[in-house]
Amino acid sequence: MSAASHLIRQLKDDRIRVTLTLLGVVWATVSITVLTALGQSVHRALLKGEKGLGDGLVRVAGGVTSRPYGGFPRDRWIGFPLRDGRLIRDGIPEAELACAEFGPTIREIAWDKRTMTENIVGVEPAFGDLRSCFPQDGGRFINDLDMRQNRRVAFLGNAIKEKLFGRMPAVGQTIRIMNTPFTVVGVMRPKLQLSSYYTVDKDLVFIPASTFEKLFGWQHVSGILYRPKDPASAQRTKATIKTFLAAHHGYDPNDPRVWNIFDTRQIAEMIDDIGIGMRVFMFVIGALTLIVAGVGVANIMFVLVQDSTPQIGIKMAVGAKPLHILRQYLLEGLALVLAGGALGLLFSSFVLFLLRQIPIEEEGLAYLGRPELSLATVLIVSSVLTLIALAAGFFPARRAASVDPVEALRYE
Amino acid sequence: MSRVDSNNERLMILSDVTKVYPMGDTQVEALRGVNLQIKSREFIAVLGPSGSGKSTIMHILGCLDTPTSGTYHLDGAAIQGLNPNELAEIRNRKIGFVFQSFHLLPRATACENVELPMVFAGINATDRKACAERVLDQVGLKERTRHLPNELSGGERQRVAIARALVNRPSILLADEPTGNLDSRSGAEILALFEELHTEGRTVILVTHDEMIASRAQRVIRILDGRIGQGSSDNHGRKE
Ligand SMILES: Nc1ncnc2c1ncn2[C@@H]1O[C@H](COP(=O)(O)OP(=O)(O)OP(=O)(O)O)[C@@H](O)[C@H]1O
Ligand SMILES: [Mg+2]
Repeated sequence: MSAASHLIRQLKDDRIRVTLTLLGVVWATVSITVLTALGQSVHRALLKGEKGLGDGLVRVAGGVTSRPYGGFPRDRWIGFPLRDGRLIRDGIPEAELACAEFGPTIREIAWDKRTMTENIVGVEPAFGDLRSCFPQDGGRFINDLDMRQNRRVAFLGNAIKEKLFGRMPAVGQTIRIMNTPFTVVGVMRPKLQLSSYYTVDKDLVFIPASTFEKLFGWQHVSGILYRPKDPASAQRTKATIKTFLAAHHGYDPNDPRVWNIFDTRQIAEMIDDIGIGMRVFMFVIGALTLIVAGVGVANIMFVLVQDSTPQIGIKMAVGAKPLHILRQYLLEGLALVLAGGALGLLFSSFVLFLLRQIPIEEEGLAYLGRPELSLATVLIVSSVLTLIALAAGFFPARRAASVDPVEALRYE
Repeated sequence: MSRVDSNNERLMILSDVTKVYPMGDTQVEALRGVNLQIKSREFIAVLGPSGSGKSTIMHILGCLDTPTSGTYHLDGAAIQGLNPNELAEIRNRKIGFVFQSFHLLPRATACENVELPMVFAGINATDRKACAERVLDQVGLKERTRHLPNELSGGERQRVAIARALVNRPSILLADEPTGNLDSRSGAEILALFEELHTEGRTVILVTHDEMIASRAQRVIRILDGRIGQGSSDNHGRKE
């Protein structure tokens, strides 16, 4: 008789206990699988959200010198004027989409009878691509002509548009910023952005940097943004820009305080660490559940061995070796756990399917991402299940193999 | 002693065999120094009252149990000191057991029960099935191969057990009160079957407390209180 058919017959008698044990394994498998998959998708969502700020974005801002240089004392304010954006754009091709950024400055804006106080930023056209601020249909981002002509045009973050216009179309309308009329040329397409250095882009009003400079009279930009063309040589690009700006403005290129830098790649690395930590944590919780289920399996296997002691005696009397008996119960334990595991994986994919149906446009749920049952997860879960099954089956099987046949035959 | 004359070969030799079971603080001496020699192809009855040690002797002869002291030689080989795997191998190849309460696997069919010793001999499923059906036919159960034990009469169950004992062609059959749970008619049939198996050339050792049954054997070994008692007889003359 094969181990499987034997097991099935044996289990028929113990239906309730077996069902409960099986449910334990199914539940444990579901929890370890779903938790691992969620860990993975949250990690992915965080990375994607980070990219919402700009993929591989670096932001350079000025600061106060901490060392004397070239005859100047320390504590000198170093700021970068608007033209530095173009200088870098033209002079350092390995820094892609380099552009300067003014702001934010909080000002009153109005449309129709509605008045609000919002963050205004002045940007160059490259900003749109760099930060993935893409216009919704029927609109556009700030362009070169806007810059050259200091046009009074505005590109609205989608949340601002919502607050100001509600469902009404915004493009073509005239809003007032500090009572100066601006024409709305575009509205941002919604994007997942989970990090920012002041306000997320959907809450910003974008105007041309040249217009901003004129209107508010700022001499220095708040930062210069770029993306290294080749991520592998990102450090070298950073150094090139550092030397370039230092030479241009006359300060020590190695002065740590002037060089005020923000690099999303470093944040991405941090997110990776968090993601791995989270996955390990969730896996451990799932594995613990699985171990508890394994104890349940071991328990029912002990009962099974106990109940079938006379049969073990019979088998030994006709020539079963201890190894035959050991193998039989190990296989039975394995069959029980793997059956539960298979059901569990099936049910997990259903649970994950349901999770994917949750609309994640909501702010809080965005972190959830779209959890999926990956091959890696299936492999990890299956091997953990097999290990647990062998461990859970071993001790009952060893007890079965050490049964004294004479005792067992007297058992009834 | 010559191996050529197999009829006179001493197949099983027990020398000063004792068996002691620990029972809490005390000990139960089930066998107290048994000396016994059994030749190949003998038909032996082991007779004695309840608790005298008959089953214990049979378990030792069948390598299901080992003596506490003394020696046991089977087929010229010392049995004491063998490990469980070696003992299992001997039981599988050389011994067939039949028990009073049949000891069939309750959830396996007659055929599957008979196949069991072949499973542990490593015979493939097709050969096992063919062989089991043939032996079941021999014991007159051709029509019952797919029945479960609880769908069979006592006599039929014992025939299944005998078929199982025969299927690996062992030379020795050990039966512990095989008719104890049967009515007199089935009992007589089973007994006739053992006589037939003996005539075919097997060594048959039959444990019983029934004088009538014992008288059918060639030799009667009387056990009393763990010792071989007075009046153990030799019926060889009577039979032939
Ligand atoms: N595992 C054991 N532990 C303690 N005592 C035992 C054990 N097995 C057998 N005995 C004792 O050993 C003695 C011999 O037992 P055995 O089963 O050989 O008797 P028996 O002659 O077969 O009796 P019956 O005719 O009732 O089957 C008995 O007194 C029994 O109680
Ligand atoms: Mg007995």
